[in-house]
Amino acid sequence: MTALRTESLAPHNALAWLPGGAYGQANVGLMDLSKSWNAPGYWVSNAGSYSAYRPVASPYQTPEPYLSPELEARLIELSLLKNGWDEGESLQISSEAVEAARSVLRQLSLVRPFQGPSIVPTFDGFLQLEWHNTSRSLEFEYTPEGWSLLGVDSVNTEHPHDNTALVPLRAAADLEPFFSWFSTPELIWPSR
Amino acid sequence: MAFEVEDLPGDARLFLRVHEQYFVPSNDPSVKRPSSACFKKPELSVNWAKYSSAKETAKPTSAAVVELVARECKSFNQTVIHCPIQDGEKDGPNQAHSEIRGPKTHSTCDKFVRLSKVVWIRNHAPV
Repeated sequence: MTALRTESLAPHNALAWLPGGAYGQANVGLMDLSKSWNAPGYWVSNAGSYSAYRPVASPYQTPEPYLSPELEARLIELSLLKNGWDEGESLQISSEAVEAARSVLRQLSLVRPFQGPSIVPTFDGFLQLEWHNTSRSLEFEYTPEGWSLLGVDSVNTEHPHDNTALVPLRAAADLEPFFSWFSTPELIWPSR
Repeated sequence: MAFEVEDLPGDARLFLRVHEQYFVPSNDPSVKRPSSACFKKPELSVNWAKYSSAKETAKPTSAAVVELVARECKSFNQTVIHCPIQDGEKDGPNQAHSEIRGPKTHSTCDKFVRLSKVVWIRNHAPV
């Protein structure tokens, strides 16, 4: 039997015949596909005579955006800072900045390998995400104008090279190539 | 008696406190460094080493104190000014108080990180 990705064959709320013998399984019967349409798995067909959803992990599985409890806790901690949190004239962190960070982190969780950043507040009421490894640093600073990106290539520690970019706040997916740049030393800084 | 404003020489050492929110893991997770965010203020308060020490610069919420050199700050288009705080003024008296003034871009803040040297850490925690 050839496994194929054939989602177009499956209408919502469809009932499909599960020919157990084709999978080497003993049970044969009907299955409510409406509950499994978005579940991990893939469609299989056999000579076009039938198709069925096979709810098992597969190489085709699309991961879901995810925010770890640790990162969520850190965002909540930052959102609770009050004016003057640095014993100076710093402002409390804006809810827009926290929500934008949450959105970006969920988006970046789809990039492999994903590494959680340090999240720091800025005195003007925003925040910054930052990652550091032995050869590169990457920082996303929230500003009302967009995400201010700074990537530092420090392989040559005498003359580290700075790269910058400004990414619109609503374009979280556009940040993925920059995150890949950080975790993949062979990549060059993405152009926009 | 009021403190006089003095000219800061190029080799003046300046102490900057690093709030605990700004002390983050570096490329070695067991070692911490100041975030570039801690250098972002257009008027960055520091203490001149002539009149203060790193330990005296720290506040209860400071995780560390870093040292900068006035000449190097000026190379980033910054002005370094001695501006002592007189007795009776907010946060005064502080004869060592100085400011690194000027616009600080994201890249400039990162350059400050590279120039800074951690000289004091709370409870001698590993950095």
